[in-house]
Amino acid sequence: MKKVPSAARPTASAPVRRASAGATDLSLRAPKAGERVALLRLKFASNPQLLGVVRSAVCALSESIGFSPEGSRAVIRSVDEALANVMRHAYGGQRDLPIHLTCWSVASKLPEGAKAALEIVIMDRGIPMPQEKLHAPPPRELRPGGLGLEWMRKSMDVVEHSRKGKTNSLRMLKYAMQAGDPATKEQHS
Amino acid sequence: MKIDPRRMDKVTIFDVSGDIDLANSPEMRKTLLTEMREHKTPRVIVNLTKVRYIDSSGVASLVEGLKTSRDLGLRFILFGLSPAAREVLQLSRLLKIFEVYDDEEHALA
Repeated sequence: MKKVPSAARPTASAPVRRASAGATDLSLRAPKAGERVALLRLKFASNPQLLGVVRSAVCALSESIGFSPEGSRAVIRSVDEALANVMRHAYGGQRDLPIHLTCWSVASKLPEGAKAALEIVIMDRGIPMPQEKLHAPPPRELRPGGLGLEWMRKSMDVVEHSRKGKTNSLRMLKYAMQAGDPATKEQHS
Repeated sequence: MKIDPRRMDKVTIFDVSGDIDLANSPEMRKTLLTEMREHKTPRVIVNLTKVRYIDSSGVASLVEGLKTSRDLGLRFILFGLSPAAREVLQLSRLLKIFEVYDDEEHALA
């Protein structure tokens, strides 16, 4: 019989945790008060064909940490719109440039009624978003374009753009509420 | 994403399925606009029953379809909106601008 090293044997005080993709495993890793835990890191090319892959991953993750279907859809469309902006504007349609996406589970400063929070950071090394676009009011007339940023602002609790050196960074945060997640911020109030 | 036109007497129905995003919305836009400009069918209906996700470029294509239909004097109708599609039209305050029905029967009525 193969001998198991003593350090790898499960004991009553230190049970072995096995990695699995299920919700239970993520809840075991849920952060304690004040903690921020990275749950997902993706590095991928700026190819629009990959948007569906990223949406699937973010959907599974947001549902696993407790978002309702409405809240999960809000997270997915914000990530998708942010990535589309990077691909189209920051990288000008080039399909082979790097994008980094990290999803964090956050347990600090949760507002009343929130059971969890998901923080998403997207980084690229393309052209920065023009300030006038970042601060532009939502489009009022019937015209295509300009919708993505408005959707992100309405769907997430925090949307912050920044640039350090040659790296653009977008930080978004959404709370999963005990009483269910509104699809938009307007439905909070 | 797949988009297939069904031509009937005075009506064209576009059956769209899958996710509409930056990767394929130009194809949807081109199909819709070409069909409207070439055939000028009085009523153009977009069946979104099998669309799970639509991004802002997809909504922009629908807005272009609506504007083109107005220019050509056609009716532009949507039906079968998923929760995701309904939410983004609400977010953009476009739900009242489009003519929207629950199903094909009502869209054809």
